Parts: sequence; C-alpha cells; structure tokens
Amino acid sequence: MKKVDCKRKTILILLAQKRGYRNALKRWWRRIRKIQKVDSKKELRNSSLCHYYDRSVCSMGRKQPKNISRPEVPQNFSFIENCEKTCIFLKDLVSSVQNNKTKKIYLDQSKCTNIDLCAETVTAVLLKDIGDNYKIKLQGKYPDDYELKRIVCASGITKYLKVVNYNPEDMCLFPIVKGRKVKSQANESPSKDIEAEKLINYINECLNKCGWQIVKDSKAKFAKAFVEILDNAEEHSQKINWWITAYSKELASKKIECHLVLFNFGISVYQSMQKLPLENALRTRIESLIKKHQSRHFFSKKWDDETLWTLYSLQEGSSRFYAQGEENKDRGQGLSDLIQFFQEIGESDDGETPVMVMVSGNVYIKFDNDYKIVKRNKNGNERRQIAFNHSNSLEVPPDKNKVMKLSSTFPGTLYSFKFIIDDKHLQKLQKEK
Amino acid sequence: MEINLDNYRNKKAVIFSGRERGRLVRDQIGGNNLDEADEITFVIPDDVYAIASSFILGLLGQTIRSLKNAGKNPEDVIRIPEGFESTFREAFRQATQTECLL
Repeated sequence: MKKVDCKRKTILILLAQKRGYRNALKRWWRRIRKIQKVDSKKELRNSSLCHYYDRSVCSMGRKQPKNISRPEVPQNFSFIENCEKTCIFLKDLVSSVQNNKTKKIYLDQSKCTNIDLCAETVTAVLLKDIGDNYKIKLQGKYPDDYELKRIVCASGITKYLKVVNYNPEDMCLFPIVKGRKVKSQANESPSKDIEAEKLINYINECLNKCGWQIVKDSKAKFAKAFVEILDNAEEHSQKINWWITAYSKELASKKIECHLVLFNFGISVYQSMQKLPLENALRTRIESLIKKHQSRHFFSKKWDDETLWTLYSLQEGSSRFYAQGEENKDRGQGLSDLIQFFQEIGESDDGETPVMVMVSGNVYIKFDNDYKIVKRNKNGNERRQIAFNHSNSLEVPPDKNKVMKLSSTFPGTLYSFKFIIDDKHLQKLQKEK
Repeated sequence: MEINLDNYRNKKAVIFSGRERGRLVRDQIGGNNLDEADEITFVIPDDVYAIASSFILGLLGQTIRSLKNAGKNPEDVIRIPEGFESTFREAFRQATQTECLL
C-alpha cells in the first residue's frame, strides 16, 4: 500500500481549488464580456435595422411570441394621416422578429382604405432587413381596393422585395435608394449630392408629363432642400444609412400627384438636441421657455417638453452645435431652408395645398401652409421663426393639429412631401407673372 | 484668388453641399489664403445648378466673419458668381448672425 503524504495532498487540493477558482473567474469574465459586447452601443449600431428599431421602442411593451405573427395593418396606413397607428404597426412588426418563435409574418392589407408611400416604404425597408437577417417567411394579402392594390404593386413592399414587376403607364416610381454616409473628400461628390440630383431629374420628368420643365432656380431650391435633409441624417442620427423614394400618379390629364419620402433611422431630433452642453446658452434659453410653458400649465398628453424641444429645433440658429463662440453661430439653417422651400411649392387649381410631414421620435409636425416661417429681428439679426400659432410666438403652444406628441415612437426622422403638379394652376401662375 | 469648383467634384456631379465638404475644400485651398485674399472669384462649371449655403458656410464662413470683423463688406472681396446671387447673399447673412431668436 502506497503511503500518502498528507502535506503534499493538501497542497494538491489547494492548487486544484485555485485552478478551479481561476477557471470559474475566467468563465465569469468571458460571460460578462459577452454581455457587455451585446449591450455596447457599437454592437447596436452595427446590428440589424429591426434589432435597432426594436431596442428603441421596446419600452412600449411586447406581444406574446407566436409562430405566425400577424401585425395589424391600420386601415389608414399613412404617416401623414394616421401616424400613431402606423408607428404601432411598425413596432409590432419588428418586435415579432425579436423572438425565436416567429417563423412567418403575415401582413394583411386587404382592409386598407388608404396606403401612402412613406408607410409602405418604411415597412418595405424593415421587411427587406428581416428577409436578409432572419429565417422568417413573409406573406401577405393585397388591399381589396383595386386602385390601392395597383399602388402597392407599383411602388410598395412587393415591388421592393422583387415579388412583382408592375410598371403601369399612369404611375412613375423613383425606386427606393439606400444611401450611406462616407468619409467626405474635397474633390469627390458625396452620394447624397448625386442621389438628390437623380431625384430632381425625376421631378422634372413628372413636370414634363404636364408639358412643363423645372427651371434652374427651382432645381437649385429642390436640391438644397433634399441635401439638407440628407446632411442632417448623416450628421445627427448616429446611423450611417438613409433612404429616399418618390412616386407619382396621374390624377387627370396634365395633373399629377407627387409624393417624396426621405428618412433615416437613428436618434431623433430631440435626442440630438439633448447633446447641447448643460451650460450652453441655447439650452438655457430653451429650458427657460419650457418653464414658462410649465408654469402656465400648457403641457398635456399631446404637448410636452420633447415636442417643445423639437419645435424649437426648427427655428433658425437652433442647433446642437450652437456654441458661444462665433464659429458655430451660423449652424441650424437647414430646417429653416427646408420649410421656406416647402412654402414656395405651389397649390393645385382646385386649392389642394401641398403637405409636408416630419416625424422624429415621438413628435409629429405637419406643414401645410396654414402657418408660415417668417423673418424676425432681434438685436439687428434677422432669424426665421415658425411657431404654428397665429401670433407666431414660441411662448404659447402651437396648433395641436400641426404639432403633436405621439404615444408611439419612430426611431429616426422621416420627411414626407405630397404635392400636386397641375398644368392649369401653373398656367395661371405664369399669366399672373 | 480663383476657386474652380470643377476641381472639387466627380464628373457630372451638379450639386455642392455640406459644411464638412466645404471645410475640406477650404483646407485644401488653405484657409489663411482665403482670409488674406484681396479678391475671391469662382469658376463654376455650366452644368452646376445648386450650391447649398452649408457648403458656402463651410468654405467661406470664417472668411466672411473675418471680413465683417475688419469692417469690410464681404461682397467687395468675394465676387458672387452669376446665377448664385441669392444663395451667396443668404450665406453671407447666415454667417454673420450672432443671436438666436429663442
């Protein structure tokens, strides 16, 4: 029988324990790192769009996972007319993807009475992301309404996912373009300039159908408006991609309805403005205005500080880069330029006014020429201001039909323009000139 | 000093935009050269129809402010190219704003 050295045995046990602790520590550290990796902002930035979307709106509750997910498409599927329910639908769509149980997504549009390009485009982009990143089958039902079905086939989800290739003569599509921010170079034009030019050529084609042509001045205005939106998307959203698309449809002879959509995912205007340093003069001014609204009990479910911040960000000179120094005093021009440009777009002969909608985070703003952006003077400086009320004052709440807080979130910023190109109205304008 | 925008674009690109890009062009030209120039002229290719004010602010914002601080009218030094009067004048106005309305 072998004699065991007790002292040696104790050392061996201690060594094994030490090794065990070390291995356990390693395992624990690896697990922690893994968790940190998943949670890190960088990982989130590089993850799929649906993952990002879901993470941004997940605080709003999630439905029970099912094998077949049937997110309810609202009857009025539109960011312009039914933004709240459209955002809820998108939230349901992405949250159904974020569990391993869902094998199929079924979109039933049969009961839709209105479908607009922005809602259809955002859905198409998210579905494309689902198709690319998840093993989930996509199925759906076209709207029962024949005209809506044609629109969806010509410009909607099935077109983008290449299920159909339908190109009717009375409709013209500017296919969805996915652009991305690239490092700027002095002697190379960025993709946003090139895509904006293509979009302007597309608008020119629409005008040509009515026998008109876009003049150099108007081309420049369109160009500046589009590139400013894309510039904002690249500079402020923290996500590198943006999407543009357009669609036009002949309503009558020489009368065309145009719809343009530009959007990006990422942080909202409000979230971006929150990056203003605490001691910044602009932040102090905005916060004092918020206090005024609070003290007068203006805040409600549809009007709060997030909506206020977003509205204030539209005013000329408001920018998260606003600083005390001279260098950044000229920031915050883009949105004012855009609103001014929109005001100059014409109406149709039967009085249909153009509409522009901006959705960012929980805020919905509708521009339809009822309220104008006007230049105001302060200490010899001219600045453009729009407050969406009759006194054009930021100290009183805006029209609740034009600026409102949404209970659902769009994790990004979306601009949608809808206007009519009408030969009769353009001829009338020319005669007046 | 002459700035030929044809040197700062892709072939067939007809829009100039972005503050960041304006700054890059400024860096390539030399910001000090622009600030000290007696005259700045532009050569703009015929097919270019849009120059966003953000590009002008990135390229000339600092120069416009220096001129204003020296009591000069920016338009006396920066020759506004034909067809782009409103954009340049708007950029001159924006560059010299010091107050926010809020």
